[in-house]
Amino acid sequence: MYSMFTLIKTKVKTFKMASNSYRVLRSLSKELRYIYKKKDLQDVPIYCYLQDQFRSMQVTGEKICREQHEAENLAQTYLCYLESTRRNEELSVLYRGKGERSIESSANIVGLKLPKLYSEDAAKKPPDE
Amino acid sequence: MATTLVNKFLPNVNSKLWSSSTLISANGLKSFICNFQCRHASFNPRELKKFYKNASIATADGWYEINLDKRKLRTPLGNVFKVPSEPLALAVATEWNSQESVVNRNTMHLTVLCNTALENPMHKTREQLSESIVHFLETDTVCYRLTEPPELAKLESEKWDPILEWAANRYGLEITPTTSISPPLVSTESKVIIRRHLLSYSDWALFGYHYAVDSIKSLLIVMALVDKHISVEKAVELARLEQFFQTNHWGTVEWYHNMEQYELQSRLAAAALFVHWCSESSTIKQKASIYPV
Repeated sequence: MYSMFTLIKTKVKTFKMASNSYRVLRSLSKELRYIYKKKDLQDVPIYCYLQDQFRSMQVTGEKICREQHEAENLAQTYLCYLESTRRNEELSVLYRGKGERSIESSANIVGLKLPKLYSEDAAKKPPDE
Repeated sequence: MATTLVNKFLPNVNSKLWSSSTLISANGLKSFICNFQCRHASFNPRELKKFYKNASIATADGWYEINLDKRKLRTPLGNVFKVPSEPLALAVATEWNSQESVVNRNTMHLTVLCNTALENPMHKTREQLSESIVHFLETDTVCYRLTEPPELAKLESEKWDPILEWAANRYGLEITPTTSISPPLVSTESKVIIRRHLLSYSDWALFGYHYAVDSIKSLLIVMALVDKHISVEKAVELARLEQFFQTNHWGTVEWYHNMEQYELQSRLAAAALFVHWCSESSTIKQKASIYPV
C-alpha cells in the first residue's frame, strides 16, 4: 500500500516537472520564432539541440535526478535572455531619439517662442503706419 | 539621504542602480530626456549593416566556430572567433541571426563575452580577475541596509537575509550587513573561501562571473544565481530592490525602469549561461535501451 502511494506521488511529481519543462520549451520556440520568422523550427540547429537536451534529460520515474532541474533551469535562463533582449530592443526602438532638437522645438518644450529674426525682405518693406 | 552618502563614499556601488530610485523632478526630467536621446544618437558612430543572411556553426580542432554565410566570424583584433562549447556557439549564432538590417553589437552580450575571454584585452591574470571579483564583496548590494522608510527596511531584511543565510550554509561565509557608511564586516576566512571557490572556475567562466558581478554589483546574488539557487529574474529583482520598492509606490517609467530591468536581465542571463557552458563537464548515462539504437 505504502509503495503504491509513493509511486503515485512520484508519478504526479514527474508529471508536474514534465509539464513545466514543456511550457518552457514552448515559450522558447515562441521566442525563436521571433528570430527565425518563417523558417521551419525543425531546421533551426539550436531548436533541435534544445529538444535533444530535454529528451535526454527526461526523468525516468524511478529516480529523480538533478540533471533535469539543471536542464530546465538552463532553458529558463536562456528564455529569459532571449525575452529580455527582445523587449529591451523593442523599447529602445520605441523611445529612440531622432537626433538633436532644433532650437525652436526645444524652446517650445518649455513654452517659449523664438523672437522674430531680422531678414532683408522684411526690412525692405515700408513699415505700415 | 543614505543613498547619496553611500554614493559619495563608495563609488564602487552602482551609482546607476542607486540614484535611479530617487525621484526625478519635473525640471530634471527634461534634461534627462535630452541626455538620454543624445547619448543614444551619438553612441554608435559607425553602424554595421547586416552583411550576411545566415549564421551557422562549424567545428575545428575541438572548438566551435561561427560562419556568417561562408565567411568566418572574427574577433575585433582579427583572430578567428572560436568557443569551447557547442550550446554556446549555437547561442552566439542565434544572436547573430536575430539581428535585423543593422548589427546591433551592444545587445550581443554572449558575443561580447566570448570576445573578451578570447582576447583578454586588459591582460588580466586569473588572480587579478578573481581579486577584482572578491573586491565587490566589501560593497555588496545586499550588505548595505537602509533604515529610513520602515517598510523598505522590512522588505530588505525579508528578501536579502535568505541570501546571506544561504551563503552562510552553503559556503560558510560570515558577513554582517551594515546600516551606516562603514563597510560591512567580512571575516578574512570568508575572503579566502571565496577566492578558492573562484579559482576553481575555468578562465572563461571567470570572465563571465566578473561580467555578472559587475553588472549588478553584488557577488552574493551572483553566487546564488550561478549555483542555480535563484533565477535570473529573482536576482535582478534583489539587486534593484530599492528601486522596486519605489516604483511599486510611485509607478514605473517605461523608458527608464523597464529598460534597465530588461537590460540587466539580459546581461545577467548571458553571463550565467556563459559561466555554465564554460565550466560544465556533463556526461549522460543512458539506460540500456530496449530498442536497437
